[in-house]
Amino acid sequence: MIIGISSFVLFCGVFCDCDRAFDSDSHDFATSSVPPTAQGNDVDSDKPCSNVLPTRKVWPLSRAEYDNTVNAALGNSSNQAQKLFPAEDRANGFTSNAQAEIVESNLVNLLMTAAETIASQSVAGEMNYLATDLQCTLSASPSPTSQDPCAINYIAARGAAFFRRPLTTDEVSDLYQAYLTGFNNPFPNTNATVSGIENVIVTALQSPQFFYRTELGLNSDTSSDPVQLTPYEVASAISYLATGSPPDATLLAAASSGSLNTAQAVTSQYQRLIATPAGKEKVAEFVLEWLGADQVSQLGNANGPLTPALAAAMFTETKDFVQEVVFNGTGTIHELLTANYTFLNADLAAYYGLPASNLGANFSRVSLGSDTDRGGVLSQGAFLVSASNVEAGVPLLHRGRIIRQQLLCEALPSAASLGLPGFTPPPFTNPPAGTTTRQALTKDIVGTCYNCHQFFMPIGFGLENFDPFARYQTTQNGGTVDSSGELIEPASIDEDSGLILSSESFNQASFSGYLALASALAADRRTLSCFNFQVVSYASGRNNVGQDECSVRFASQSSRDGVSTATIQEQFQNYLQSQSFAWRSR
Amino acid sequence: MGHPRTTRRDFLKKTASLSVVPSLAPLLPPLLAPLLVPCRASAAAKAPLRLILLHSPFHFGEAYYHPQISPTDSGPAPAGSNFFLGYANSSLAPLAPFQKDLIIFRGLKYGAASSSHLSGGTAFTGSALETAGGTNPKISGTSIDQYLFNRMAQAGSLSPICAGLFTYLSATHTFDHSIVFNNGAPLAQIDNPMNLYNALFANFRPPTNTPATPASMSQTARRQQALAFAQKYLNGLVGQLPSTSPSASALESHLAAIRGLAGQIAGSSANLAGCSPPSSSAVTNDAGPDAGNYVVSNAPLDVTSFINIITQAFACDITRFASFKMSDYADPSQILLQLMPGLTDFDQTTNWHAMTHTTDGSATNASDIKLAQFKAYFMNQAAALLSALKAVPDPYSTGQTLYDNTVVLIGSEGPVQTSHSDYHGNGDPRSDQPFIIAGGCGGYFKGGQLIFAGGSKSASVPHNALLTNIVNTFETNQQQFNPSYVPKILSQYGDYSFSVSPTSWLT
Repeated sequence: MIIGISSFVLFCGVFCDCDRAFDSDSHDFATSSVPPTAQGNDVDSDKPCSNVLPTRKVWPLSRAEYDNTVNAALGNSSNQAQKLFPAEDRANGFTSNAQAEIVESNLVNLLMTAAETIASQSVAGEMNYLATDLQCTLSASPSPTSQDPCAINYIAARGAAFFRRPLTTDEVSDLYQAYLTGFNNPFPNTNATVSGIENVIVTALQSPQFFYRTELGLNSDTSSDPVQLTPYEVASAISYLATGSPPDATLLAAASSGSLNTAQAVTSQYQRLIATPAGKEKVAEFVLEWLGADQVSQLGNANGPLTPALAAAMFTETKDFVQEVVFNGTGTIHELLTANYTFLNADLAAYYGLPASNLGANFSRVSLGSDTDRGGVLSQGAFLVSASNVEAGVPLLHRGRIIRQQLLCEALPSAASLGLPGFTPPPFTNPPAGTTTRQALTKDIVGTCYNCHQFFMPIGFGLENFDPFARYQTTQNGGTVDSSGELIEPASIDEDSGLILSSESFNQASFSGYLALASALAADRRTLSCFNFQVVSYASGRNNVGQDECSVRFASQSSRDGVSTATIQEQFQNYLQSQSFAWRSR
Repeated sequence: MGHPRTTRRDFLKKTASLSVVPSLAPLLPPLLAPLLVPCRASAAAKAPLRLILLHSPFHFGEAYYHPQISPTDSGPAPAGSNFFLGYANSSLAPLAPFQKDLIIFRGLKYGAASSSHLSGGTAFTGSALETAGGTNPKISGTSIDQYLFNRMAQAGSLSPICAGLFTYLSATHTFDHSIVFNNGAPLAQIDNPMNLYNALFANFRPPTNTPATPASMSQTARRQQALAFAQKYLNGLVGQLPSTSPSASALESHLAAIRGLAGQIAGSSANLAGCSPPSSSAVTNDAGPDAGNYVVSNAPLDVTSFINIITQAFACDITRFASFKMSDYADPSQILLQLMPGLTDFDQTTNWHAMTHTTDGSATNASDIKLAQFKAYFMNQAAALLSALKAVPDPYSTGQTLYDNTVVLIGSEGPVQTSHSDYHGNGDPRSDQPFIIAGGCGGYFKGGQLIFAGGSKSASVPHNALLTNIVNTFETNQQQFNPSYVPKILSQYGDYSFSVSPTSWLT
């Protein structure tokens, strides 16, 4: 995947006139009823993008999405999926990216268990819903041939909540059969009508209509190519992206009325939802998963310097910080990387060695003075710890690698591509006292090793003032820390593999210390191009977003217009307005 | 690929002598030629029914992996059936009670693995590595358990068990570190025994052990109806997608799983006298999802729980294939200390990974002795599993136990280290991997052997040849599996011709 991203970024940088990739007048095509052209005629470049639309697909709900959907439909917040189901198979770091998800029998069993548990917990409330909202009474002797109107009303109403769209006639009929099956085969200690309702819930929750989001277009349309998503598919796509939850009544009404057919309407709905508490959580989730920083919550160790409480505090710090940047700040990637404030409580401030006198147990926004080298998300504990690979003991290598891969979308060369198949790096041994890790590595990693290390080690040096547990340090192992480094522009690219190969010369920007590194990254167009790819990967649930080339270029427009002014929300909205959001190839 | 299907038994009938060997020699890789021996499968041999893949972390040291000649002769045992495992510090000592069925290998090499730790786990089960990245090896193909399941699952059988012990503790862990794969997709290892228990037994009712009641019949009716609903609409979705679509493939997998569950709910015709699932109270529960939240003090019981669950899943004929990844190098190693209270000279800060970097394969190096004890812990778990299998009747073979018809393939993250320059095996990428076959295997394999594949420890015979033999062993069961199927994907496990020969080096 990284190779694909890298290929495009580098390809674009080398061969395309990215500044002219899209005509700004052609932005409003996301949900147009006119199919996009096959060859991306709106692209004005030396090498037009191929305008390959993503193919139709189904997309299983993540555990959080499953639980949120159950909660929205039934008011059941027992979070069965997060209790029972295996963790998602992350793709490109994102839990919502379902490209590689496979439902096998273990999960099918757990889907049954979860459905039966949820139904059992919820059925009493559903009987109240029947009585008070639907104001109907279930027949004591329902007929297979003459459907009980109260049961049908329930199925239609709740079915729409489960399936995020109105049910088909067949679906209503089949769920009515589920009602009858439950009625005639009651759950233990449950009367027949209640059992019927319970079995409708059990059946619906195990159905593919519930478990999968679809991006298929109209079922009745078997020939159009490309295919436009249905309004309800668009509604789900907006809602799960913005909040991780199913469409609310407002969004469903927009889908029903046909008013989701303009890019402006899509954007407007997204903006409405992203401003909700759930929307703010999702924005933070994106940043945390993009940087791998959400992993910090699993890394607290009662026996180590990073306790579970501190790990949780670091997670909260970054979550609150991201939300502040996006919703109260400039919203720019620049601010995300360079802001001179963060969110701390007393314990975390003390751990970082920052003033804690005015802080309590709750988190507050704290300005970072000029005497600290912290600032921006990369200097926060969540990233520093998650990216450290503490066990290996060489955080600067791993941090540099993650910056290279996740912020710059650049692949590292494999040993084989360097002509070293089977090569194994020698083990890192602790340097003698008085020698920092950097000094030891700089001394030891020369020649062949440097062919690869040059691409990430000089970046990682910039974070040397932070130990693997995110504590500030000016000395390490008795030596003086040197946090100067280089941000190397790759000058030799293998077009086939997209890998950066060693070359004879580099354009390289030297920096001195973390803050300078953060500023350099924030001003680097590769960062913004990469960010766009990460947005598309996250929003589209696709690991390989190379096929979204046109969309990504489109989304990159504002970045090219102004590196320092591109906002995070804008990147999402640009994706929502792109062809790849609402159209699929057959 | 396209080879005429000749069963081993048919071939034996036709040949029944060593005279066939010269004619087959050109088909075999040169390094295998010294291993050609007459087929010695016992008269009672039949295809095994079940497979368990056991993975243990790190490498073995030469001094404490290789068997001795005898209790009184500490020299390294030569190839053959005369060897002794019970010497001091022997990593394999726990397996000594099962020696008559063991096949201990030297000289096998992970053909497609890089030198990274994690690629060892993936290569072990037969998947090909596309990119042998250090922390995220990319996978193609299908691991041997999934392959056999895909080919042989009987009605009502669930997917293979994928169990893991402490495989999600590290921040870098993702399912890329799984040791099992299906069409290049890593499958989730379940780390919490309770989650695995729920997945297998929460909806299970042993049909022949528990008389049907009105309540159970109602439950069956409701569940069958719900699954039928799901099947109908899954089929509808599949019909909307081209067959080449990844989504169609995923939906087909979902459908297959539902068919398995539906079949299980309908009941099994096997004799399930040994089916007695543990009560949920006997299974440890590391609360929370699999990613994290471990209850460390549960660790010893976690292993026991997994062993019990796997054994009972076989006894109840829920599935016939299982993998159990017992940790890997990336886990916070000190946690494992709590699994091994009998070890000495360790403290809570011992970093096993760092310690393995100070081994040299010798008998006197302190780190090698520690590593031997560490590995012996995992072989103890293998022995516990074998004992558990021996204690339960086989649903399909009167008078036999699960042990008799199960292949347990024990593999390791790293190879056998012979010297310090061979730094825990990484300096010589993946040669001399320590494979061990255990279990009765249907009597199919000639047990009690120490085999030098290719004739020496350094022969570097691709381990795919071994996997191919195992696959072919299962597929000779003509009674149960489709005899006309041409095993097209066997190329993933080596050259198909290696294993169709009755003179295979395993029997």
